[in-house]
Amino acid sequence: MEPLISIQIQQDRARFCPGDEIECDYQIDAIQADEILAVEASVLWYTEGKGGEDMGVHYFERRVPAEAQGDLRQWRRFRTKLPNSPLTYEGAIIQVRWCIRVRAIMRQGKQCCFEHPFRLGHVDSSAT
Amino acid sequence: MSSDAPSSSQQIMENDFHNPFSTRFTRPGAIEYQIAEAENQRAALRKIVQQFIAIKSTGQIVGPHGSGKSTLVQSLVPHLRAAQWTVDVIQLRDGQRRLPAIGGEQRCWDANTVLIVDGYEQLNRWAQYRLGKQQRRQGFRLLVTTHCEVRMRLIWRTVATEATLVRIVEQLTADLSSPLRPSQQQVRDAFSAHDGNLREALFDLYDIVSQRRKQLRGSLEQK
Repeated sequence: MEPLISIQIQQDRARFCPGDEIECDYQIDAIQADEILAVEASVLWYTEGKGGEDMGVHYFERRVPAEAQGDLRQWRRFRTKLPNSPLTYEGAIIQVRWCIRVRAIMRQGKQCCFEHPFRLGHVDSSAT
Repeated sequence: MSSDAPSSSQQIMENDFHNPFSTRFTRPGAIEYQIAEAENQRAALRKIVQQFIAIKSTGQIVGPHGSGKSTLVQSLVPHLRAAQWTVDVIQLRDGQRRLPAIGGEQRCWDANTVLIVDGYEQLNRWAQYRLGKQQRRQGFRLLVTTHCEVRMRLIWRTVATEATLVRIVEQLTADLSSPLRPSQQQVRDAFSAHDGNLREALFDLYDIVSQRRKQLRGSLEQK
C-alpha cells in the first residue's frame, strides 16, 4: 500500500504573484516510520504539452531520518519567496505549471510522489 | 502583493487540468509497452528479457516510427535491472551518426552490462562496426532498436494496432471528465490518419482534448 502524502499551502489560496512568499506544510501517513529513507520537498515549475519537456527547481530540501528524530512522517513546514518567472501559462501546445512536490523515498527502491499545483502570476491565455 | 483566491471550484478544476496526451504522460517510460495478446504484461516483458539474455550477444527490436520501440526499451529496463544487469541506454536523435562521447563509461561496459542503443540505424556504418567490435571484445550484451532489420537476432517486432491505441487511450483518460474525452471514432480516425504511428495519433488526440477544453471554458465564461 502506498503512503499518503498531504500538502497544505498556509496562505489557503492557489494564486500567487512574483515575489510573494509561499509557506507549505507537508506530512506523510499510512506508513511505518522505518520504511522511509528520505523525503524530498520542492517548489518547481515544469512544462507540459506536445513537445519536449523542461523544468526548473526553485526550492529543494531533502531530509533523512537523522534530521527528524528518526520519524519523517511528522508535519514539516517550509517557506520560500517565489521568483519573477516563469509565470504560469496555459497555451495550446505548451503550458507552464508550478507545483509543490513531495517525494517519499522508501526501502527497496520504492518512491511515492504527490504534487500540489498553484499559479504564479497572471498571463492572459484567452488567445490560445 | 497577491492576487485573489479562485472564485469557484470550476476555476480550481481548470487550474489543475492536465491534458492526458501531453508528452509528460505519453513519452517512453511514462506508459508501459502494451503487448496486445498478453494477459499478464509484466510476465510477457520478463519473457522478452529472458529471450534476449539467452542469446548472449546482440539483439534487435524492429518496428516503424511511433510503434513503441523506445517505450518497449523503457519497459524492459526495470526487468533487466531486477535481474541484476547493469543497464546503459543511449538514445540517438535524428542525424546522430556516432555514439556520444561518454567520458570513460564505455570502458565500464563488461559482461554484466546490457547496452541499449535506441535508434541504431542513425549510426553510420563505421560507428556500427566499431560498436560491434567493442561488444565482442568487452563481452557486454547489446540490444538495439531500429526501423529496418540489421544483422542481429530479432528479439521483438513492434507493431501498433488500433486495439493498442484504444487501450492506451483508456488508461490515459481514466480520470478525465467525459465531456473532454475523445470519442471512439476520433481515436480510430487518429490511428488511421497516421498509418499506425501511435506517437502522431496521440498528438492528434492532444489537440482534440485541448480544443474541447477551450470550448468548455468558453461556454463556462458565457454563463
